[in-house]
Amino acid sequence: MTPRQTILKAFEGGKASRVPVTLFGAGMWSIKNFGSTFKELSEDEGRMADMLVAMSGKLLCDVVYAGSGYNNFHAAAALGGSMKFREMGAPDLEAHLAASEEDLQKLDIRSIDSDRVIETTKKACRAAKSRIGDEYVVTLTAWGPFTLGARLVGEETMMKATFKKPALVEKVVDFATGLLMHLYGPLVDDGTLEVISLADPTASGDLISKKQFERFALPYLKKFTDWAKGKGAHTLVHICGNTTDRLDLFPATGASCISLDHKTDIRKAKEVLHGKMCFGGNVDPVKIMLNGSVQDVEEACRETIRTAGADGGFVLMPGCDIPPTVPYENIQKFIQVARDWRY
Amino acid sequence: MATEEKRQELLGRLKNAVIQYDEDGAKEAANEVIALGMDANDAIFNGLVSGMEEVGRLFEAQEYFVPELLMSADALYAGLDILKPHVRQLDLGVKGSVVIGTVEGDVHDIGKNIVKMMFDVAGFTVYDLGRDVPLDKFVEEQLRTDSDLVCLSAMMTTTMVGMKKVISDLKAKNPNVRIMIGGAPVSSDIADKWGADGYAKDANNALKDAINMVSSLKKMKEEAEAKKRG
Repeated sequence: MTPRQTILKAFEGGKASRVPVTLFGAGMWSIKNFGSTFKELSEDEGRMADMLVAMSGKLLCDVVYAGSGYNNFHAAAALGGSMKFREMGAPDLEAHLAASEEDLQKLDIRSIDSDRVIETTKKACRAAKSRIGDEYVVTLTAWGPFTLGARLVGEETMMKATFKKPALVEKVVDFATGLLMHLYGPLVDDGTLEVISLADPTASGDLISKKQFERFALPYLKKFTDWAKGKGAHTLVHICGNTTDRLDLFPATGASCISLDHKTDIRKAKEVLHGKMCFGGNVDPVKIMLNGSVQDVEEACRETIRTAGADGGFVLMPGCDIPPTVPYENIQKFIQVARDWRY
Repeated sequence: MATEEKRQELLGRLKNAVIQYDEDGAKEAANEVIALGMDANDAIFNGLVSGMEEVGRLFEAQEYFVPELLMSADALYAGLDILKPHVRQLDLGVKGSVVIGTVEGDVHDIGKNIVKMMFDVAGFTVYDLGRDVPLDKFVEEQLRTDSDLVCLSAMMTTTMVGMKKVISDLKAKNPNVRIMIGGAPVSSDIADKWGADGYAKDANNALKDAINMVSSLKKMKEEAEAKKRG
């Protein structure tokens, strides 16, 4: 079985011959280790595709993520603003935020069609798919609806608006959902994507309550995953923070796989989610992946698989994206433990 | 002069306004405090701050989340803006100055702003560099302001590594400066490992730690000066 078949089997709730395994995103790590920069690759789809292919061979993750670290371009394009590249961290918005319903009405989801960087990530995604798509799942990653919505209006405004202007929050998250459909539609329709990857860090269990998640994040994730499912595409959704108190809501997101933060109780996740949906997680990206020894990584991975993954329907993942300085040996061990694990 | 009964009533209203994130309520109570000639310091610490302590408890108990915390902070500031000009001396025992910011690559400044509020309330001089702050800027600003404390925040695993460099640069330039780090991916392990003096689990804890650090720093300075004189 190829890595692609192995992880797709898990998304469908089954067991392949070994435990599926992948990092989440890893754009910053990959670009740094490829010896390039966000800026350089944003101007050269061929080189971006080369990076994806080279890193797939180096990392051996079941999933290859095009566009990782370029998520903010979707918001910037919608707002009609520019982006800032810098040495540290992913490129970010310089645009003025939408502050009111009136501002929101002026935004047009089609504006992402004319953004050159978004076009570059899509082309690189297609090129990587044709080169390594039989072996690996090639996906394109973006912010989830709640997070993308918060990028459009500003995180602090969004947080307060969940109480002060709930109708505005609903509108902006709905707009973000439409934008994501517009982004992914052509790539799903032409067969490039069989998995869509979304990160929803602003819907974090450390930021909003279960009730707020249920009202402002969940319905839009569901709307999106229903749409994707209707087109035959899987969805892999990462949510940050401790979400132990709301694990029971995750099957209703409709995601094929939910990726959990290292703060979430993975034993509890197995109890609540096993048999209902595939889940991934949750090795500590800093304490273990960055600062642990190779042996620490091995032990943490084994423990995580024993606790959560021995019965299938599980993907070994770090609890979030990894810092760009994680030692390569630690990633190799991370992947190897899952690849060697026989059910 | 306000009676003890009236004092208690107003302190209770200030406290509840913060807990129930009621900006207007906080303003009204603060204005009454001033109109009655009550001690503004008392109103801040036994009213507003006492409310924020309860908010901190509710946050820890996961009854409150960030939206509630932000709105409570707005209510606290609404009261504080009215009371502060009437304070003769804000005094928590120690005063200091602090440079605070979110590190380069990271635009998430909600946590930093809440910690900043606690410093404001405690009467610290706060030099807020904002978010996405170039790493060298922390060092420059500390030297420029001769601040006792530098607080660094990062919310992403991909940006937190910048803190490590700032810590070593700061310590190289000024071994006496105290450094506190905070943010979702940060832990006390990381603080130890990277040589920070403190780790802010949350805003309350950040302020308590900061006061301890600044007092130990002041004590050190006094001892050094006494030695010089002696």
